[in-house]
Amino acid sequence: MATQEKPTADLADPTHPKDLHSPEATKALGGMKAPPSGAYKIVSVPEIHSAVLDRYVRPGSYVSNDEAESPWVPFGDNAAIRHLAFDVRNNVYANVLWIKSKGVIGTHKHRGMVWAIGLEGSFRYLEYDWVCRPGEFITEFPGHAHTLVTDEPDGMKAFFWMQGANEFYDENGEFVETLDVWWFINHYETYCRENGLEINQQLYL
Amino acid sequence: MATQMKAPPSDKAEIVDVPYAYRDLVARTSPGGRYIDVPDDNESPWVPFGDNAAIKHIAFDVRQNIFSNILWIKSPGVIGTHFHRGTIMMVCLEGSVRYLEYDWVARPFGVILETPGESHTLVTDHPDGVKLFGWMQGPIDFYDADANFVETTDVFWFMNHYETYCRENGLAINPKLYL
Repeated sequence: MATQEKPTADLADPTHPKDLHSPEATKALGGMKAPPSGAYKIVSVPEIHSAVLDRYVRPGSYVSNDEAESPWVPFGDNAAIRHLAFDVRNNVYANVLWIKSKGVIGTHKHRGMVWAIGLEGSFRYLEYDWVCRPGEFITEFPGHAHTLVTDEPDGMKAFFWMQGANEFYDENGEFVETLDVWWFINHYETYCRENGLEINQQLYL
Repeated sequence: MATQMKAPPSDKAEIVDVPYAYRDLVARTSPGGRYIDVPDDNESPWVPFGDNAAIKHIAFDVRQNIFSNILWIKSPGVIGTHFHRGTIMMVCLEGSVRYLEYDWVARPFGVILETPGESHTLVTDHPDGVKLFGWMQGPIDFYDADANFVETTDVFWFMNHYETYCRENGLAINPKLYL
């Protein structure tokens, strides 16, 4: 099947796009050094089950920089969170954390994995020896407890993708609350409600 | 505050109201857990997978490309070589099963883990075949006997397998199977 053709989706009689996977083609596997097409156009990908896919596939989301799509929600006096995604099936939440000037997000313990990229300023954890600056990437894993600080006069912004529970402690090591995807949903929705803002359905995966 | 739980802290057969601030949000936004009465063929039918095998579909999750089912091979037979791109957990329920590539034979209650990058050929030598519960994430590439790639199966293949059979046999689609 030529890749330019829209594949037929006759579910009663599915035909395999076998000529894309001929012995010659499969023996060439591992030889790809770059994207095999540089054509500036949409190429129709063979999809035998397109009827099922079209019906059930979960669309991706897009959230622009416009604060109307997701506002900065205060998180204490010196920080704010811009929520980007909530996934209740996986207890996943993604957002940008903004600490506005030198400051601290107190000690917390992760029960899931975290990916983060620095966007502005810098931040570090008192427990580690690195500093995360714009464009730099970090991961955190279940069982890590740490204390986030920024020493910058203009603070920091970083994108976080977090999975699982996140336990917050006070400065005496007393447990205060476990944050999860619903804490983040509540944080976002409460602010929207109190400020007459519409809930953005794009944020709910 | 540090305590070490040695056993479940309550053995009372009563519902305890767990303090949790976001119960309303959970009720509104969560798809919810559920019970699939798998032994009941009205809940999910056995859908033929070749002449000697059938699949009873249990769960489809299009957000994570997860599919769960029971694979039944009815007598000694083979599910041909396939290559995994995701993680699999399987439990042998009846009969026995092995892979030509490995040195173990799974028996009932035995648990099989498979990880991305592995390819193997599933065989049952048991006179009554095998029933296997599987929780599978990610695509599975199937090859013919000459190692020619045939098709990549993913959650949409499994949904299509289930829904086509339901349509052809006038069965209602069970929404409980869709996470």
